[in-house]
Amino acid sequence: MRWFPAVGALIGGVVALVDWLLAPIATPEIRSVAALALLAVLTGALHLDGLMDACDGLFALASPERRLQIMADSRVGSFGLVGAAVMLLLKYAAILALPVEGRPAGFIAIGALSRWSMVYATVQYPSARAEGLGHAYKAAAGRRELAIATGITVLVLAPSGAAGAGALLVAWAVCAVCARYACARIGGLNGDVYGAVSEAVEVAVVIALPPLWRFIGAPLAI
Amino acid sequence: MYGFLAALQILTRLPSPLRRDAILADVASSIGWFPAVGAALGLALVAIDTAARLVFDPTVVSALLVAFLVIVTGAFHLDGLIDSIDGLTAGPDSDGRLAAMRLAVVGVPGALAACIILLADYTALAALGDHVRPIALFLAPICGRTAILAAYRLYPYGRTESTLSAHLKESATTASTLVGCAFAAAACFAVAGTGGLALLVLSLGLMHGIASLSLSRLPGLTGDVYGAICEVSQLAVLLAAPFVLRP
Repeated sequence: MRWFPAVGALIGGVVALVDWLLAPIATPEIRSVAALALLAVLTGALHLDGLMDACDGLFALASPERRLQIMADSRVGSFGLVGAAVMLLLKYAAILALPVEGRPAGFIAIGALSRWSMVYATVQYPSARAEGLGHAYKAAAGRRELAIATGITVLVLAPSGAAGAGALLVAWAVCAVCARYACARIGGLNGDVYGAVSEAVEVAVVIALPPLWRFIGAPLAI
Repeated sequence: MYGFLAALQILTRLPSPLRRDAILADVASSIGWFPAVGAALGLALVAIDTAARLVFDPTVVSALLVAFLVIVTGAFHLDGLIDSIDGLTAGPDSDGRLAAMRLAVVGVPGALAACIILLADYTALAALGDHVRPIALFLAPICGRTAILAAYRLYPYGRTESTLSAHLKESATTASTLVGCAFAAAACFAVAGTGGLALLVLSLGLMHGIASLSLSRLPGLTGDVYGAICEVSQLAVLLAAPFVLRP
């Protein structure tokens, strides 16, 4: 679990590489769609699936037990579909708005921060169910894992300087809001919610990066 | 004001403006205030647009506005659109279609419709130039909710059960509908003159088209169809505004 941010940074690095390779032949719109697709494909849409299930369950007008059942249902409801569609739309627009010189740093930052937020959410918040992959992670993760994951994340963000610290703050805030909402609705977090947190943090950070760079400090050009 | 708060509670997911669960009396008093809720949403869109454009790229702002409308309404109308399309394309008879609308699971036609509507909302918002942008953002939610109100008054209701929509249909008297429509027309005329009225007429025309299509396949409209009417007429205003509101 401590290696989650490193894996995220690696995924971000692959996206950045493909984005760079496409630069001479593709329009900004096509590069952005390619990055969007690659982010989903490289993870097997694992986190987007979690987001859809979490939207269906958390927003349902039902009891906490029923919400957990809805999340476990493999079929998609309106909230899940709309949640994923809006998330993809936001992410596309935000990636398109990333300035040319900041794109590699941006992809690496969102990869690392979104996975760091899953570690943070797992360690800091209770588990909703005593079973499943999410609970297995919960049982295995402690403060030590979080400290190492945070250290790796800070290292990855170091080239971004103060703007990187701002991005970490955004990631932490979004993660806390999502996690508290889930605790209020189903009494804790599960694997689907971790995926939703990862997606929400990813999109929030990619939206926040250009103004952070503009107002706090530009990224290192690669 | 009480009717406005009740309408706000029914049409949005804002933290309970009434500070309690809505009861039947709230539903009855709310319907004429639907266009006013549209105006409140429109003002919020204009405020968010103005503030967000200071910080974010215009493409991101357009996507944020789409997200805001979905979140603040709890995807209420979009969910109606999805269920409507799933129901209207199901068969074999009107009973089967009404049952299909009730399913919590999204079908392929509904999923495609929702994706297309969201993408169209985004492109329409992104295409709004500076001179029409605040006007279109203000009027689109008003026209969408006015179309719901008029549809409740004009067309039969399709279910026999005692649903939220059944009570809204009962409450949509000629008087409350006229008051709501007059408010909408005044708002449209005040900010955009005859062009604004043309947008309102356009949204009511689409309302009639969707209602007629639904009535050819169902005994009457359902709550889901009112949601579809809202989404489509709202989108139509956003799409048409640059052409209708030439400076």
